[in-house]
Amino acid sequence: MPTVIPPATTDATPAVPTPLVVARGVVMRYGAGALTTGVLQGLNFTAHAGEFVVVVGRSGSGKSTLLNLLGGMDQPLAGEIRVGLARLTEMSEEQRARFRRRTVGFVFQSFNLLPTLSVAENLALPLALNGRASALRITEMLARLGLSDRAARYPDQLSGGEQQRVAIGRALIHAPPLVLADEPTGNLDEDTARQVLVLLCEMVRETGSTLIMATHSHEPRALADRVLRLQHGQLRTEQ
Amino acid sequence: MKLLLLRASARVLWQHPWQLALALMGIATGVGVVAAVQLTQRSAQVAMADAQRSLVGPATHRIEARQGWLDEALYVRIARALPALSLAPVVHGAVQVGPAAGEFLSLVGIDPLALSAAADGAEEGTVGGQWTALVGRSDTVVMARRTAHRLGLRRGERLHIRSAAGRRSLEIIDLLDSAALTDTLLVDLASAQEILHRPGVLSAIEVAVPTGAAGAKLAAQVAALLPANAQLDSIAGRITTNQELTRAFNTNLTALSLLALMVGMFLIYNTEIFLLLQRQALFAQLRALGVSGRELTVLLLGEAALLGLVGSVLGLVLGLGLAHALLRLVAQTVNDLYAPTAISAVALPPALLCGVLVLGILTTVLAAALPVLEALRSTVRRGLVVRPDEPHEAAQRHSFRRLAYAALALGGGFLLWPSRSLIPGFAALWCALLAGALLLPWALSTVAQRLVRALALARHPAAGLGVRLVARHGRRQGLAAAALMAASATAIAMTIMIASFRISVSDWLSQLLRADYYVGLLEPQADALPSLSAVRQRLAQLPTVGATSAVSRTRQRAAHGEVQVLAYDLPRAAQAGFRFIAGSAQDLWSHWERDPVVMISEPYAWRHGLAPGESVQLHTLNGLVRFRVAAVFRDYASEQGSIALSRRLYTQHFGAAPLDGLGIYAAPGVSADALGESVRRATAGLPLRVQRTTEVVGQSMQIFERTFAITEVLRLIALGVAIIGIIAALLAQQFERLREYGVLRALGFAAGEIARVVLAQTLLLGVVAATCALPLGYGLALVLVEVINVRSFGWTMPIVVPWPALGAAWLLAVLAALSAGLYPAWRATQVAPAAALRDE
Amino acid sequence: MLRRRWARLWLGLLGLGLAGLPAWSPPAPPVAPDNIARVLREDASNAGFTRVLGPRAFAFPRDHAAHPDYRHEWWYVTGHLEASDGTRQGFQLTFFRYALSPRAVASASRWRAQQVLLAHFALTDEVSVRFIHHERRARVALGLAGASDTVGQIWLHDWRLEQTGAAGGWHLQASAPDATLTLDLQPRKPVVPQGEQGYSRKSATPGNASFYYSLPRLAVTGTLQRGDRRVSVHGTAWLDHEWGTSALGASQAGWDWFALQLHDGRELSFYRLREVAGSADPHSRGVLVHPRGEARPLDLAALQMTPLRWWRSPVTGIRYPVAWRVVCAAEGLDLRLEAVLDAQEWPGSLRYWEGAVRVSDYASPTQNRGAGYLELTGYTR
Repeated sequence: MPTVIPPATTDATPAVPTPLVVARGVVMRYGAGALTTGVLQGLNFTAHAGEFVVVVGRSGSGKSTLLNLLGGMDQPLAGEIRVGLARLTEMSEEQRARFRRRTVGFVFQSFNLLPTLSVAENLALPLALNGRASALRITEMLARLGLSDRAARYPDQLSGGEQQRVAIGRALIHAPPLVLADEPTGNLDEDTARQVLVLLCEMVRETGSTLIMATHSHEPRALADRVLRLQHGQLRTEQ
Repeated sequence: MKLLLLRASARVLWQHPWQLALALMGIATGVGVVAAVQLTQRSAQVAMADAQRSLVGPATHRIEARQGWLDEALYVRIARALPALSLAPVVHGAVQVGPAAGEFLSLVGIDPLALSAAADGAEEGTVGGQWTALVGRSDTVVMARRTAHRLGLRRGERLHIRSAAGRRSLEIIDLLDSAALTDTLLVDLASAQEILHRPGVLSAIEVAVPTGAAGAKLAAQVAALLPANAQLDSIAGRITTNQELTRAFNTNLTALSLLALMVGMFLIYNTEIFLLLQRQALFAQLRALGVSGRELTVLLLGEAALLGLVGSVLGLVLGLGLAHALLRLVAQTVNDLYAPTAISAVALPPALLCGVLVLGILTTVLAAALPVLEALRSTVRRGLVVRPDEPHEAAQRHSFRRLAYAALALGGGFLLWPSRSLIPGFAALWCALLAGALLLPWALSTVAQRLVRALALARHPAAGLGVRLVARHGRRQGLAAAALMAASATAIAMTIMIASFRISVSDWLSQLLRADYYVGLLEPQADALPSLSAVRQRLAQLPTVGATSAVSRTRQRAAHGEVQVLAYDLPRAAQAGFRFIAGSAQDLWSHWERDPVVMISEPYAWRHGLAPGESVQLHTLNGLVRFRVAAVFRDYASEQGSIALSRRLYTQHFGAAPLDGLGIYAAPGVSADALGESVRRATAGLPLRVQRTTEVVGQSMQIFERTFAITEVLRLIALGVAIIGIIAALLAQQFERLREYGVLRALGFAAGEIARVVLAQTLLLGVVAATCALPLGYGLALVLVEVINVRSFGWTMPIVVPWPALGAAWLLAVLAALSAGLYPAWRATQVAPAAALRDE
Repeated sequence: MLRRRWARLWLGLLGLGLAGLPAWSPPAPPVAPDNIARVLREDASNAGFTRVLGPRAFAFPRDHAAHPDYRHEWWYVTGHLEASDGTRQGFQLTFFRYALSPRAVASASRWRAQQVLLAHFALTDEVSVRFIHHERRARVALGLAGASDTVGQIWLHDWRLEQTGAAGGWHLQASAPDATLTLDLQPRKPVVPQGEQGYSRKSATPGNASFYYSLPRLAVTGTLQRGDRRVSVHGTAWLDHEWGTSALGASQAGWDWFALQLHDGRELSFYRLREVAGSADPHSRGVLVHPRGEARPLDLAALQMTPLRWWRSPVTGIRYPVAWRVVCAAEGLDLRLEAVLDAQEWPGSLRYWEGAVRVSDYASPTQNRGAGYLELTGYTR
């Protein structure tokens, strides 16, 4: 994608038709009074299919909140969010769950694999949710992740990097249009982080999914199509 | 520093008050049940001993006739020979009150001047200044307030009675609040003799001898003065016997209560684990800071002790309330059968309370020890709390299995041990339960593995996930399931035993009671010879009566102590009613009237190790006579056992005995109703009880049911505790799994699906526990029936498995487990994924 | 009946084990202690009994026997004994007769009694200062207890008080686990009627009176057995016999009575009737017997008695005056009566204080003038 250096404006919408993700005037808060966190104030955001967007910002600025909202895990206090044809803000909890299983893949900072399932089973979950059983896919995915020999292991028997790789596999095995990554390399050392990052970007490109990543580190910025900064509850384009 | 630690860890607890409440509830429930059972036992014991003592007064011995009455000249003789002795004569009988078909009340005649307790100036006069009116007039009576109230009478009013001497009215000069006088009329001895038309005789003479050697000498002197048909019985001796029997009951209750404690311990273990897991991160950080393992242990165990103390106190309060309810059940049973017992107060011996408190605290600390160790060994690694048990879990299951087999072997050893004591029997029960509990995790994981293979994640995501969660993380759930299984197995065992018992007894009764009607005396007082015999003669002449049977119940001296001897006069129809465990019926009946043969009841045979062909020796009028045992008959009427022989033989050796009961058989072609009509008409106005066989059987079974009501209650309590345990276990788990449920939500699991995941787990637990409980319960029932019952009472019975009841028990356990999952399932769906996944 | 049988089955089943216990009978309820005043007071139930309305001549030996047409009666023997082993005892044996109805009741039962007997036996050991007391109760039936109405013969089991043929002598016997007393008594002085020739009025109401006489000095010989030690005893005794049907008036609480045998051969006896308020009733009477037997009647003008010391019973909480000053100016007596032992109370079914007292000069208490018995009745808490 051609990089454009627009002037610093509050409107970060590039002039490309039919964006995958659209968020307008999103207002969100957790907590109350002095304990208020994750504040978003009238945030606007769009992303196109296949884009790699990085969102940076200080701790507590609301990055995770934004991802949660985009994934339909939460409802904003005001504003609207649309992913594809789904109007998340008009959907019930159940509908959003169903939306999530088809359309979204999550990668978390703390991996969040189910500790009582094996690697293969963890990978199988999203498929199972979508009613698609495919041992073949799992085998393929394991191979792609380089973890074929770890299929029967359990998460606590894997290193951090391996766990995150499994998490990535889980996020992508059902080829969701949207992948949300919340500090995916936050718990990893430098080398492993790089490996994981590369893997993630490659796989996302293979499936053609949109990747929105919230992160601190610098590496992803170089690989991203767009970098946005979340500040004072709103997004600004950054370079 | 210590304080900081305390505050740090305690604050976590305070922030989750429900979890703290759950922990306390677990401890309180376990302790409460034990306390309740102990309190009930103690109170019942104390109350019964008191009741007995108050019934018996200061008398230490009782002189009674072996059959019939005592001559009052005996009293004079003893009083003259031993003037220093405290003697109290007694006459009792029955009178009718009110209108013609009125009820019968006991009439007791005493001498208020004898055996009086007005020793040291206490101002309590129960009869008080009224004794002159009681002794001086022949128309005065004292009765229990409650009885008077029931009859609608007050002090000063007159009570109309009918007796052998005709009608008369008595003035109620005093009402007493004594339970001993329920449904009894207290009159002067002379009045009793007059009213009952029995001059010259006494029912008994009570004697008070001092304790020690002097008393023993006096007792011997009294015994030497007695004629052949009178015997001197020590009242204390009877009380001891009762205490032994009560002990058997108490052992039962204690066993049940320990089961409840075991379940309670599991509850405590569970809640402790999860309380600790809540703070795992905190502990790991503290360890990282340098707090030593020992300090942490001390802190945690101290906290457990404190929790145990608070929980135990709560448990005591709970136990008190429960004891009240249990006591009412016990009292009701005893009241039904033996009127004068007011077991209303709950005795609170301080030693018992302390003991229970200590038990609660110790149990909590013990239950906390293991989780504490676990908590200390685990580390926090990369955001996932790693418990070092996962790789060891398989190994642990294996060692559990070995332990289980060892327990089974031990239990078998106990059973095979040749003994008459109950203790090996109970030990075997415990071993069986323990083995079952140890094997359950293995059973659970095996079933789960199979299901994992059957339930592909793809087709059944929710159920499949649930099953995998159980298969993988079975241990704590296994414990919950084990508790449910133990409770269910115990319930099943009791159900089988009671059902077997019920059927045996009802069978035995229906077979034994072949007559159409039974006629008995209202008062256990043996009447003089003519009375029931005369009735029998009169009834035998009725055209509706085909045949009559008769029985006399006496006590005779055998070579080794006293035994109940039944003298039967049995027509052929009645003979067929006896069921023999050993010996031949033909042999018995062919020699019945002619030769000195007897049949002995099963408990008697068991207690004295007798078999057909051997003999018993009885002291007769002609000295010690040997009787051959021809058969052993089944008899549930007395656990001390009895010897039965024909009336003719009895009269030959012991003299004539008054009848205690009659059986009336209808003549051919006569309906039972017609027979009943004519019998009642013929016996109108006599203090007799005429009952149809079905009534007798019905009443007996009613009493049977009421007796086992207590066991029912305890069973339900144990089951309830187990259910609470499962809920606690699942809730605990659910808090651990918050994050996982959040992940599931993030992955797109709908709320209903998450609920299904939880419910799948509980359903699996429930089904496995309930199913394993069936064979275990059967095994326990076997031990109960074949060993415990036999050793306690000497009764054997065939085992009857009430399948519908078992099915119900199975269903109940499964439903219990399922319903235990409802709240956790609901909680799981409430997890807000965003909140759960927030990285701290 | 059958129900009970099955009932026992299930009891046994549960091990509640009362199955073995046969038919019981409730214990005789305790007989409450009676206030003497209440027993002796006039009430409606006295109807039918003969009343004491005026003096009548005593006829002996008949009047030594019982008078069953009167409601209550007692024979009262007190005395002091010296044993061959040097011990000194005071003793009391009393038989109370109480009639339940004025006429014998016909009944087929031999237990139907018209009379009941209550007997008290006490020993006060003056050396070891111990008081033992025993009570017995029985109805007059079956020959086990009784009081003859022809000769002086009263017995309750093996306690007896009866006239022997020999010159008006009496024989007395009482036994208890810790002491057995067998005595022969010979009167040394003739019968002394109390009150007005035996008509002892207690209050203004006619009928509140009794017939009352005393044998003020009897010589006693006999044996006392304590455990397995038997000693022979001798001493002096006093016998009172009184009978009537309601003795006390409504306003009277009881009386204070004493009987003294002085070393100079005189005897002194007095009963001071006490009003409920505490003051002495003018009907109080007594008698002083001179060495040769002349009896001089005394009234409140002639003799005054004042309590000197009180004692509270730890058992009943009642306060008794256990030391007195007795002044009889006309006879030159100013005596101090001091209880040998304070705790000589009868706390049982009939409550009163009866004990041995030492008689001394009021002015010089160490001067022993004789011995006697003191009786205090009608005191309440």
